[in-house]
Amino acid sequence: MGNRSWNDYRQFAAVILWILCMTTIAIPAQAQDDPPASEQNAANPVGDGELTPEVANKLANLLDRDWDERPEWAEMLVMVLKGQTMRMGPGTGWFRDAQKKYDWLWLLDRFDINADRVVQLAELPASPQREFYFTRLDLNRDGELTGIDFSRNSYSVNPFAKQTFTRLDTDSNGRLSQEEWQKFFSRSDRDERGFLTPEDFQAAFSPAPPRPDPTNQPSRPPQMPPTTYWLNMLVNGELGSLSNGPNVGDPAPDFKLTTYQGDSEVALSSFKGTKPVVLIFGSFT
Amino acid sequence: MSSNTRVGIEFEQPKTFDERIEVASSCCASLEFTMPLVVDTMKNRVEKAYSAFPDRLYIIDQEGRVAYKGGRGPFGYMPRELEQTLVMLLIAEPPALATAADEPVDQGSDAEDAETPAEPASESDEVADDTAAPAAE
Repeated sequence: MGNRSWNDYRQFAAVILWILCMTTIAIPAQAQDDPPASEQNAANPVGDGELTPEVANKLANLLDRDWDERPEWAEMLVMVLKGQTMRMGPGTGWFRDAQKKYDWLWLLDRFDINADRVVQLAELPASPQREFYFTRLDLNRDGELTGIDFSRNSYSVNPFAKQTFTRLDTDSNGRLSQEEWQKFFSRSDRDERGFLTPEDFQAAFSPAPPRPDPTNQPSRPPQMPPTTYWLNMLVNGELGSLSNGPNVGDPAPDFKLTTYQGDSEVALSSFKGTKPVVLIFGSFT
Repeated sequence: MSSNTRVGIEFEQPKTFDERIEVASSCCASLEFTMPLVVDTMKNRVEKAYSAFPDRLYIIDQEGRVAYKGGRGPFGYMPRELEQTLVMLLIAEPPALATAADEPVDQGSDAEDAETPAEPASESDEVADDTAAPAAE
């Protein structure tokens, strides 16, 4: 023991020193592995898996900025990410105008002989159907074909008329029968006077005030479904078909389906060379 | 859909082809259809090919090409716009057959709603009336 030289110790000391350096270096690294909670969120802004409005908006802006030629479903994706689903309507997202092989401008170009931007009956080609065709084009029934007949306003019934009609069409078959009309009169003429006053008419269209329900919770404003709800709807095809469908000029995809009675088959291609076909896609539920 | 429930039309979402047929039958009966109604497969093959959900209108010309593609429903579902385009098509391309009338072919994924355009008169046929459907809610 007495004979141990300093060299031994120095070696030992050097070794010790080295270890200490290692330890010193290691400690800061270890501290980085285990940061305090606030530092952890700053380093990981996506959080624990929820789609925040901030992230959704950023994604929408990236898509807007860099993806010009995008499929229709992507238009809806952007709307959903921006939280604009309540604004769905004509002209938004994938709800675009119709495509037409023949339109108002074509009609003007072909038949507006005196170039007054109006097409008269006489300017249409003579045929047994001419008058019929004319009346089906003249939507505002003013006896002339103008741009107004080909505008969106002409294609849909105004909200008031629509609402009134729905109220009166009690069997909802899209036809207001004389019977339905008279029943409306009878039920609006509460005092059976044989006539309706403006107040009766108004009352007929005003909903009855809701009766307070003693078991009901105090009403809260309805909550907007979260973005993830709409994304789910979108990818499940519930906002609309995810495919684009054929465009004007494209060959129509052929199909062969049976009638609902099960007694005959209809193949689209069977009409080729005979006459045009109108396809009405819809659902009854 | 309240306009349906009001008149006792309430169906569970059909899960089988037979259930779809039932809905289609009810539809045709209630709405007094006169045109053919065909039912899509449960895989909705045709609906997908035509991007047709929830509803949509097309005109196919005599060469088998799309001449009118309506906007997506419900907003773009406008029978009067379809009808105008059909009239212009008939003016531009008189059909090969002797009668000028064309047959609309209905096609429903479940069944059909009532909104249909008037059929243009042939030399002998009468004009069918438009039926206006209740708006989709």
